[in-house]
Amino acid sequence: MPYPTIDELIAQLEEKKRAIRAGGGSERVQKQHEAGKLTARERLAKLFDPDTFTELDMFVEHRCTSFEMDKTVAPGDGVVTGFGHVNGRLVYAFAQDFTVIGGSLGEMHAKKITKLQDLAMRVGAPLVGINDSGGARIQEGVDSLSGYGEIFFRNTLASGVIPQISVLAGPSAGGAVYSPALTDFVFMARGIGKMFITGPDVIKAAIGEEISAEELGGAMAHNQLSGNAHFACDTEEELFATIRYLLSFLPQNNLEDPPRTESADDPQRTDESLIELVPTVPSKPYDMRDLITRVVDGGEFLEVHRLFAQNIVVGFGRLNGQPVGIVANQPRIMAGCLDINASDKAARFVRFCDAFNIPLVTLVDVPGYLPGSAQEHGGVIRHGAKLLYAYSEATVPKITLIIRKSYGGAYLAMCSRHLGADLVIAWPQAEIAVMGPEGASNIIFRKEIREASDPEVRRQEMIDEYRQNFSNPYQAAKRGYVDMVINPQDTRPTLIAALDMAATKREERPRKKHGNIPL
Amino acid sequence: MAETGRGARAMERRHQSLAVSVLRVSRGGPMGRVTVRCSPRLPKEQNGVRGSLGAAVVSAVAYHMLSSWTALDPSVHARRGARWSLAGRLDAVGMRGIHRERIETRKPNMPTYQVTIEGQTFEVTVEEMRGATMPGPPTRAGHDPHPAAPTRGPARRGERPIRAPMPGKILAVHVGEGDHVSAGTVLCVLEAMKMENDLLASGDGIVRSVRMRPGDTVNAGDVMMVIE
Repeated sequence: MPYPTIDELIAQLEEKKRAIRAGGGSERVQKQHEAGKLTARERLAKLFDPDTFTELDMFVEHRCTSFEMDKTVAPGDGVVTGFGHVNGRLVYAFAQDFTVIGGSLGEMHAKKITKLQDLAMRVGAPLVGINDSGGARIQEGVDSLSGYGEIFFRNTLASGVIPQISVLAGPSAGGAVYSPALTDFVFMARGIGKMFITGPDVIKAAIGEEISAEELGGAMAHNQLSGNAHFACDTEEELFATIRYLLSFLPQNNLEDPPRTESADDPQRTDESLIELVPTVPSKPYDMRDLITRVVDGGEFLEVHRLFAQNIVVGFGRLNGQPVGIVANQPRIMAGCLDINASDKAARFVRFCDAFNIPLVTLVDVPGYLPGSAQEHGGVIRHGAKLLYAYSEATVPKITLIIRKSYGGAYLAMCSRHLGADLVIAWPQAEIAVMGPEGASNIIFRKEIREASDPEVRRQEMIDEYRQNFSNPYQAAKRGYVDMVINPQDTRPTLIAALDMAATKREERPRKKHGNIPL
Repeated sequence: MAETGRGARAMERRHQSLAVSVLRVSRGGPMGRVTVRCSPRLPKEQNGVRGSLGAAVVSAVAYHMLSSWTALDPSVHARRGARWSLAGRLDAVGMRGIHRERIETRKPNMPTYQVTIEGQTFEVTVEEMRGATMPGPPTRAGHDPHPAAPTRGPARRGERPIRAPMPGKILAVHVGEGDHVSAGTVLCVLEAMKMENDLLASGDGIVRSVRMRPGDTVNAGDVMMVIE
């Protein structure tokens, strides 16, 4: 028998590749498109810079022979893995292929993913996982369970080492949801991505509740209510563009600094409009996002968790080209108070920034923690403690700007000097105290007010006196808890100078296996 | 002894006493609203037993609310935290002149009644304490006698209730029934946490009903208006 020529072998290779790239075949691809979804390879093309994607493990096939699985052909075993460039930087990605046996996860499918995870961790580059899967491949039994477990284990090891991003671009049910949950940022496409531990059918059978899949685990459910997802995008185009934008703020791994860029925005730019933006009357709200966008480079601010716990705003911006993580109370929503969800949201963001060397800028206008039995019984003590823990633990440069109200425990929690802020700046209307003038006067001057001939008049006098003497930044500044009080228009140059000053900060913490954050 | 209602008889027959504590009180909107917690749980409705027990509780609570409210300045209604043990009182409460009917709400596990006493109407919701079960009719082992029911109520499609995000006082209402609103329209101003919070419309629509007036206090979750 004659040996084949190299041309024949190459032709054979190309034919194999062509068949694998066709995925589940034109009929299934058409179905995917009709469902308003892109295919796995179309998605990867949107994520990466043009023609930079290199596919790995194309020829992997499943090894299952039970339930006539040996007769089932599954190109790539239902997942496409590989690496490429995003904004010219290395990124790893996998995309589950719903057209190949429903993107179900079996032994080899999982092995392709774990191989990629190992590689990303060794090399030190971000990993993006695109989920679109019917779930565990039941025919493969415990092998598929084992696959999920191996993925979760690596998600955990990689946490804080490389940025991990998950995309929900299809269903994800049962155990499959825990891989996205372990990653840093979860993106969901509206009307397409869904995730839940138990789906609508099981819920109906078990407890009689009727709810649609979209209401139960769609993009809005997870972005607004559960907080499991950080970004809700209308289209897949928008989704992948947002991931590319997000990655532009992040370092490749925990040993690198985030990428500095040249800023077209003058670092010395002052802004007079900031003087009028925040009313000095503490009961008048304003939109904290207006303040942020007027201070950061070019007004560019990528808000994370925009729809969840809106009483606190977190996200990425740049100051003189330096990426920063911004945490800010939002007086426009629920008075900007801290509650369970706001604490969780901010604490997780602070820990991400600390893990990846992104300096933290904290903007404070907080009346306190939200009172009520629902909060207390919901564990606001434990959840609120996470924010204290996260800030105390963080060793990145920490700059705090107190805009207006800063009271009591919430003052401490919002990256106060006492939790290790490197520089604390205040605006002249800042009120730093244990509580507001009304509450404080009622307690301190209780006796005087009661014994006065006209208690109401006396009470108002006492409130005014307290406000004048204590509701200002100068009591804290006298003790050095506040380093400087500035004209609001100088906010941008002051923050940039503060970040430059703290850039080379080195801070050691006691060696330990790991802390025990109140979860 | 005053006239004894069917509910009271049902209770006496069981030699049960019910502890009722008031969780929430609000007098905003067209009717007063009370949420009470009832312990032990009302048994599953069987042969009308739950119905009559529930009715007894509701009537008693409404009666107490009425008497406490009318005795006080109308603006003061902080009766939250009040507790009654009803067993010994039901006969004194009396059932005359009290009209009540069960109304549909979004929370099927929290029976809600509309109660009219001497021309005044109240909405009373009974929140049953979890865990404590009254020795009612035997049920199959492992079978929850109170299966959770759908959380979605019979609200008409397209109608969106605007709920108070936190407890506070209404300072101003900027829209009226029939007004068109678009996303971002300020619907009302809620003073809470010493902040005048603008509550904004999340989308376009028409105001179907406004259920509060300036000066009213609201609790978190109270429906303030309905937009369609």
